Amino acid sequence: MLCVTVRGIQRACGAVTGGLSDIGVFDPYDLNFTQAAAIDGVNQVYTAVAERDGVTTPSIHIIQFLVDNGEFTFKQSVTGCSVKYELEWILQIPDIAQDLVTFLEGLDASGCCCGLGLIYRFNSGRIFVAGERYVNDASITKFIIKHDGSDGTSGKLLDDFNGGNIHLKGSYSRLPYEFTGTWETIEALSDIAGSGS
Amino acid sequence: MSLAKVKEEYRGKVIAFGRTKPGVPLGAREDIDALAIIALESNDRSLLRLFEQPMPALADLKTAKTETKIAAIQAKAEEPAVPKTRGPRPNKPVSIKEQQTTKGEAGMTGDL
Repeated sequence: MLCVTVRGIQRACGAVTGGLSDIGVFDPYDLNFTQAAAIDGVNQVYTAVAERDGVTTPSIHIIQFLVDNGEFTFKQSVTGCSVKYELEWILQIPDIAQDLVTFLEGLDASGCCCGLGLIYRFNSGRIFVAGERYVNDASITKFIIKHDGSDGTSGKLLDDFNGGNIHLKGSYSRLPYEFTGTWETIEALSDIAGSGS
Repeated sequence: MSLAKVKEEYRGKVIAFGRTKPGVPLGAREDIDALAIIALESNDRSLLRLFEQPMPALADLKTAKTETKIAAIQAKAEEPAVPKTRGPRPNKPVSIKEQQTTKGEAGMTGDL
């Protein structure tokens, strides 16, 4: 403490599950996230998400991927005092079709302009946000996520995989922050709102 | 009854926070005080402007939220207990193995 405030980590004893359950993409300029002021130097979670003025269409677009085929990974590195987190999301989407082409064209376009925002839920139930631009109605430093490194195959045999492995990548100074609302509140801002899905 | 009031023009706005069914606008939500607490604690202007001014004090909102929770817990506790109607399953087969295990466990407990 004389040099730096370090902190431990404790969690209630219990099992945890792996894998991604749900994920949605958004234009980082469409949404504002609300975060309480830091307490004793500890940054707080996001507690609310609202569409910014001028947004007229659903701002969050849900991506349906193959069950048990969504993954988030991160790798931290440091040079001197400069910290970097390399983040990656991998999703397997079946069926090479025009829908996949259109979806990937959208990802490519946004990656070139303002990046992609991601909001995703693990099978553990925890929800996280990455690529956001506005917090407490002010812009934060650029957190750019791009579509980068995807591949795909038609397969050869009838029961081979036919589809794409979608890779979304970004680097930032920290890991994504958690959101405390439920996934249902996220769906309320999505293109499946009201469908009861 | 919420202490904080959402301005008329924002009652149709949907904001993701807390727990609710998809698509419920602010005007139909019963946890508006929770959003008011979030707005005051974050000082997020985009949330603060949704409410009629002056807003209730943060301490009053937190007290009201706690009282609402306590009332909900008390109401649940006062609900009449539903009697269990299911009796033991008729003709439940008991295997020889199951009988032996029960005996064995009893014996072990005695040893301890």
